[in-house]
Amino acid sequence: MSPKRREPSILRGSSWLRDERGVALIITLLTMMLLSALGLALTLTTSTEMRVSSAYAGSAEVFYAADAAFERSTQDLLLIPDWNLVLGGVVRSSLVDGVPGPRQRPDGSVLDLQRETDRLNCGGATCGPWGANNPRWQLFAHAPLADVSPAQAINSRIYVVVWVGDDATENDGQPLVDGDTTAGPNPGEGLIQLLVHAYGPGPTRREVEGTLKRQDARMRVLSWREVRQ
Amino acid sequence: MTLAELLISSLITIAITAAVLGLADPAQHVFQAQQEASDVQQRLRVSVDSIQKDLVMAGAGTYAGPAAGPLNDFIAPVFPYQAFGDNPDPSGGTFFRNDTISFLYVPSTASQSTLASPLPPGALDLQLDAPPNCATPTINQLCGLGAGDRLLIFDQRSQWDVFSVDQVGLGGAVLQHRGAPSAADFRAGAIAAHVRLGTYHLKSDDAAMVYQLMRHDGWTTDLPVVDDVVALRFQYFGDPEPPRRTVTALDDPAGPWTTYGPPPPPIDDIRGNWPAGENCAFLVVDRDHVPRLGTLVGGGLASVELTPAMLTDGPWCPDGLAPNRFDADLFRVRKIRVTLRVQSALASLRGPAGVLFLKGGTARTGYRYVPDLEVQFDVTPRNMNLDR
Repeated sequence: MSPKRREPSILRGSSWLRDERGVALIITLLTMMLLSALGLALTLTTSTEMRVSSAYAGSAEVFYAADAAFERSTQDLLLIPDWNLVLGGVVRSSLVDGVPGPRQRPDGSVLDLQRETDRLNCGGATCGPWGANNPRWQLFAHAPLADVSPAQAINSRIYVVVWVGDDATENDGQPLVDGDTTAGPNPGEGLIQLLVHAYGPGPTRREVEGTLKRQDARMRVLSWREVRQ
Repeated sequence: MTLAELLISSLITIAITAAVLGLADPAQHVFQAQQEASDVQQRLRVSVDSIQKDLVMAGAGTYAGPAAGPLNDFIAPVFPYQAFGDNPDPSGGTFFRNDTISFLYVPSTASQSTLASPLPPGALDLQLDAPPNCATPTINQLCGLGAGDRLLIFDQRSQWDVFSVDQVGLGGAVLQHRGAPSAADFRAGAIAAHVRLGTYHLKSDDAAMVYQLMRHDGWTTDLPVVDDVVALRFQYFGDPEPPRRTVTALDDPAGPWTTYGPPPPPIDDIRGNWPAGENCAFLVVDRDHVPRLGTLVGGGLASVELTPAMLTDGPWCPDGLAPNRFDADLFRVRKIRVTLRVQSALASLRGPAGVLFLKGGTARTGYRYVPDLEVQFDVTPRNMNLDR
């Protein structure tokens, strides 16, 4: 009769220490957790990179949309002989998608054109350093960028809004009239300002503004400026 | 469990662990390399965005007052060298660096006026007219200009200089100027406007292994924009046609008097060091203004590359003696091509110098390589193309 083998001290004691059932499950779970953590980290890195590059590409697209709306509005303004009608809000560009009001932005949020216009005009009060000569912004064009091309050649969800305002060098105290010279020479005669907002997906928005001058049946762009906050 | 069983099981465990680690190690390196590759791309984006946002605005001029229009109707808005600060390149006779560009533009601002009194060379006392676009002066601001604001003064003679507003008082301001005192002799009526300016250049220090895209603010501060930019190159493309006179009479205040570039003086007027009726862009032949610059061949309607030789051989504006003179061919610039190369910040992820890496690193295996990224893009400054 062989002598009874002594078990290591660690395995002597209660029976559950000697029971190895379920160990494979624990090892499998631990391995899966490790692999899942690695996979999650990789996915996070990839998705962040995708979001960053997507936002960058979107921002560039929105910038060019604002520039395109500026060009289109410049051409439309050239065809309107009396800019007082534009400054008074009577005549607008052909690039208009209905009466001013709420519009859905590419990300689903709502853009209220009237509220945005009021915001630019400080809720109807005069704001800016020129007192009675402060420009009173009027909606001139507002539509999805896709509407800029009649052939629907543009595949874009960007929304563009263009406002016009009287030039800041005016001295007639009438922001809805272009260069009234009744009381004397007016340095702002024949000048008009354009303000373009282009809205892309998410918070992406780019702004372009410019000053135009009508001269001898031609349009001169005196200044083009991208506005960055 | 016997000792032999324990040893054998330990050996098996070690062998399996080593095999797994052997597989995991390259994966870890690849994972690390991919994160760095993302970082390189992001730094490239920041570099492009930073340069693009300034260059696309270069040349925006005043849009209020009698001289409204782009800056390149009067002065060059981009310079292929460090044009500002305490030691501008022209003071050392340098007029071209392929890794440097300086720019000027008037931002959206109400601060646009004209000099009410002359500003002779070295003078720093500013008096401004009060056109309708200027806010009512106070003890803190003059036409919207406050202490610390940068001010560009320029005129039809293509004289220009940049100042900073030091103090504002009722009816006037005291200016500051960097480097040697201003040599420009501005008369009353010269244009004064709030300005944005700066210089992008490459800092490349092989000894310290520092490679940075830098932006000088045009005054005193030179700050890094992005690290590990190892190459930066600017090329210039311009209008093949020289500046020409339009039909608008020179005494018509509305302009434009030229297709681009500074208007010449009337035929019998002497401006600066030029013969009567001439300036850096126009000659007088048979009592008529003709272009001083030639037509560039090979362009047709497209822009042509302006070589370093073209941009450093004159004629000089406002004249060949002015300390901040510039080549008249800079008026032609319509497009700027920028080439940027960004490398991995970690030498352990760069291989030997060669096609993939401009500056070598210590990586010896391909799965640890994060190659340099190079991008080339064109910027068309909108205000230098307004007559397109």
